[in-house]
Amino acid sequence: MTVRLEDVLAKHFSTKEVQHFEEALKQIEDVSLRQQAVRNLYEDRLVYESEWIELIRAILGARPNSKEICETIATVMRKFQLKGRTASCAPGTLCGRAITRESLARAFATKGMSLNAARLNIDRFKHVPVAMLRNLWRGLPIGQYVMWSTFSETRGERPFAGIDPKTAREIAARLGLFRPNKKRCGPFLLLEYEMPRSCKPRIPRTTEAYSGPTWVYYFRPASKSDCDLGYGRTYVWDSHADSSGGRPEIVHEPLTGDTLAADIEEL
Amino acid sequence: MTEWTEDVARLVTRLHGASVDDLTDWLRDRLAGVDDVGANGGEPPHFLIATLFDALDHSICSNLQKAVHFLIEELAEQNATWSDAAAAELLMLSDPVLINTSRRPDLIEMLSCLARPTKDAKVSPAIRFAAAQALVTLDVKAAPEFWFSLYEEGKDEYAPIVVEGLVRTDMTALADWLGGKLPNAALELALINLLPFMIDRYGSGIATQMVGSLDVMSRQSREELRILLNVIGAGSGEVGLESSIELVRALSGGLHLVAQLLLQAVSAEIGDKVPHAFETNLMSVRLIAQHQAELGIAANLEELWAIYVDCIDQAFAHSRLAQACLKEIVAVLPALLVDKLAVHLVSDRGYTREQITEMLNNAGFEASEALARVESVTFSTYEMRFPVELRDEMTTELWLQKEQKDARETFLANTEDSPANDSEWRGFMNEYLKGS
Repeated sequence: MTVRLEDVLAKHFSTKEVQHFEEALKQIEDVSLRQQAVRNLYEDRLVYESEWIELIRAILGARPNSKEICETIATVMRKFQLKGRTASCAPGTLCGRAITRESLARAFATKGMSLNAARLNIDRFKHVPVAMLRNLWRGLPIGQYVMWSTFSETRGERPFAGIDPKTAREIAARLGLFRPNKKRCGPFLLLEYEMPRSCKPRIPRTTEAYSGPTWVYYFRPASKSDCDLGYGRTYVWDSHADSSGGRPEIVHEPLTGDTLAADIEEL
Repeated sequence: MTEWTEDVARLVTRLHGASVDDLTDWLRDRLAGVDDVGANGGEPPHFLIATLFDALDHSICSNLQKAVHFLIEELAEQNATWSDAAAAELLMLSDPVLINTSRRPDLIEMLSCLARPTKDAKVSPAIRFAAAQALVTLDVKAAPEFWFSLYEEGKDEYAPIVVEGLVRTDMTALADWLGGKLPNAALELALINLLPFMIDRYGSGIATQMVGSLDVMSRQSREELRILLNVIGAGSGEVGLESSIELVRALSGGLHLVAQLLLQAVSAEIGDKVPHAFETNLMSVRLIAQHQAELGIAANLEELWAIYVDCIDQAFAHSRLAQACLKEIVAVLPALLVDKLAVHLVSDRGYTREQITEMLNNAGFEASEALARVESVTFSTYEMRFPVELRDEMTTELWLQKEQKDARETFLANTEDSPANDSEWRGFMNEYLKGS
């Protein structure tokens, strides 16, 4: 059964332990990323009771410093990564992700290619029709660690449909993509792929966002209504908070290029 | 100036004041997944550093280089203390952090030790793989046997590393080795995925010729390759100038250097030092041309041949330079082109068959039948085109290079949205020069 963190604390832990736990979390609230993380832990309604208990106990046993508490959270969360509720994203659904050429090259490089060769491969092959690209990239990952992606709520529609204007900035804002440079955004390669039958997409939880190796910058747990719909929602940039909101969001294990379903678009 | 987002700006400020030790500690934490700055879902920890690197001050880059070097040393000595994931993240920083390291020999030694298959496997397979990947990233030219041994140890998982290692080191050894390994799905896929790199480095003529000559490749891969070559415009051995631009640039640069020397030699009285300087410079050109000339010609770059031959002509116009020049040139050119050159010198440049035959013999070449048939040109028809045409060509080229350099610097100083890589720069410069 999935429950909220505060319910588990109240049900299974003494007042002193709760106080200790809360103080431990305060240790990591020194930067905005982790302030958001702590808020998200309390908001997440998709974590199982046993998972919370293990996390709380681990934090209670950790030394009270920011680094160790972060490591503890990441270590425990990693155990429960991709074990949450299955998302309503049937096999065959067209999913999409916006990725920079450098990020994709670094995913390819994990299979042994040099970064230079990976970049040249992408530059040369990104214009190749998808039927051929599927073959060429069949052994190459199109994501690393945990893949986060979006899809359209309208059945049969392509994953980036409705994002208007269809620019790198708008896509980054609507998908809640982290950017180091305020002015610069993209260029992105828009990858559209078909959810394979063998893959089980999940509704994103804090277990995926904070299980490392780096914590996800723009993330918020699925609301009750999103949970009912069966997927999470991207955390749009503040500048776009008034627009039509986040896109459906799921997480799953990394897939390879043979799942690609449309020619690559570059924005 | 780059305007970082809040958390990144804080990090950059911190890095500015950090010592190498501080940076080492920070890197260790970041690579293990603990840091103040987040990422996109699934983005590896090293990615932020790789993204920021080019925009950081030289002093930070230099300290980062030292820190990464130190951590690799630590990994090589006590790899048991490193998790596979953190070690792989560290080694992935080779590009961009260590691409221009001044301690390259040490680094290669450490990476080779980590990557080398050993019976007492103290290094985990994942770290070994990541170290081997870093070696190809750093363009290390190890002996073919080193790459073969990696394949024997890691089999198909190592196909992309081994194929690329050999492509960078010795294409002939790769072709011979593949001859005994194919058909093999993993090796064939690695080779096909490396085609863009091969085209970039050697020109599409040689790249397609190389993969096309592997008749032991499976029928499926050959078919895939045939269609692919048509789609990406590499044709079946034909080449577009664009794909060989780097090749043309490197070779032309070397040839212009020779031409400049010749210009000096012609305009001044030829002293004893000139032939010697010319010979020395030809040696350095030879290093560039040795790998490139054959490829350029094989790629049907007649234009390149014309420039080349222009320079050669000028050297041969001076009897004191001829021997030195021919000696270097035959070392650079493939046999077919030495023959072409010999015919050219007799038919167009006033040398006798005997003179050229003797020079060729001295350089270890036999005169061909084509040379025996060629008619000598008389001196009255010989007209030296140098220096007017070539000097104009050189001046234009030098002017263009300066213009591009100036434009790039101006652009960099005034905007942040600079092109991200060489190919974007090339496109931008073409547009810029059109407009100016």
